[in-house]
Amino acid sequence: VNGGDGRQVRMLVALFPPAWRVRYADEFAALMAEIGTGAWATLDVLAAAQGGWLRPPAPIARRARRHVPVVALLAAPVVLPLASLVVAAASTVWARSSAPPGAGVAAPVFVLLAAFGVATAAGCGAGPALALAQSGPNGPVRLTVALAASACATAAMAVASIVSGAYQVARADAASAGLAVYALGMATALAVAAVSGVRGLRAAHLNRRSACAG
Amino acid sequence: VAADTDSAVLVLASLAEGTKHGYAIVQDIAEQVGVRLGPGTLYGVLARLEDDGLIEALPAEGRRRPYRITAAGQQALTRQLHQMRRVADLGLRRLGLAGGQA
Repeated sequence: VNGGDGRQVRMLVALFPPAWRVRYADEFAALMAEIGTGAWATLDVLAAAQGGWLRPPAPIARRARRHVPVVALLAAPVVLPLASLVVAAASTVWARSSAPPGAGVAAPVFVLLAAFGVATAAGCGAGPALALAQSGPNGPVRLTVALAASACATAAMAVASIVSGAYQVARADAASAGLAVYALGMATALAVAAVSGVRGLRAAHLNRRSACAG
Repeated sequence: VAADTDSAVLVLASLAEGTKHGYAIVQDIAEQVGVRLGPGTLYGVLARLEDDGLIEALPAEGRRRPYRITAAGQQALTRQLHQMRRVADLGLRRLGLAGGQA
């Protein structure tokens, strides 16, 4: 097989779903090298690759499902903090304009906001946890630090929620201040969690890539 | 469905002779039956047969990985071949070609 064929084989293999490639890429590339990459074989592979995405065999689908949380977590550090900050900003504006002035948001809304913020921070912190789970308990030190930062951020988020909630209950006239404390705590915690989450997920990605290469 | 079933039967029949890797299966089917099984089609069939427990993958030999038919695969192949024989007998009988008539 010459270099051109090798490139074409790699391109054809790359058309299949990642979970399929983990299981079959080597032996499939070996078969392609023996059969060749003529038009007929290429068309057959294109049809099979399409089928691999549309109707993956059960074991491949199971492996693919294991990748789904990774994909979701990759999006989490970006999407969730932005969504949280948008919600915080909107609720702050809404609380200021509500009547009577300074009464703040209703208790159920506040509880929902707090729960959303804590879940967001925890979701961002799941990145380093996932990476550590893949690399074992004796993973890279920087990854452990990232996980610790995420855990601290999540805890800070929870404390900010509880303190501002208690403040709001104890002093109804200070509701806006409580909400501001909550928003500040949420923004800080989410920034820390997002950074450590991205670091952790990057480590998870590198671990997976090195595992596949090995 | 027929095409998938046909390919699966071809692969199972090839493996009924003994363990083979992908290229050997393709060659065997081409030589014995005159059917060219594409690489994508072959691996689609191998994945599904493995998923159904009808074949099993053996440890890789270099970049090649041999496959072996399982006991369940032998039973499934036997059932399928008997059914195909009944269909063939029925068709030949109704066409008046049974009994070796051309």
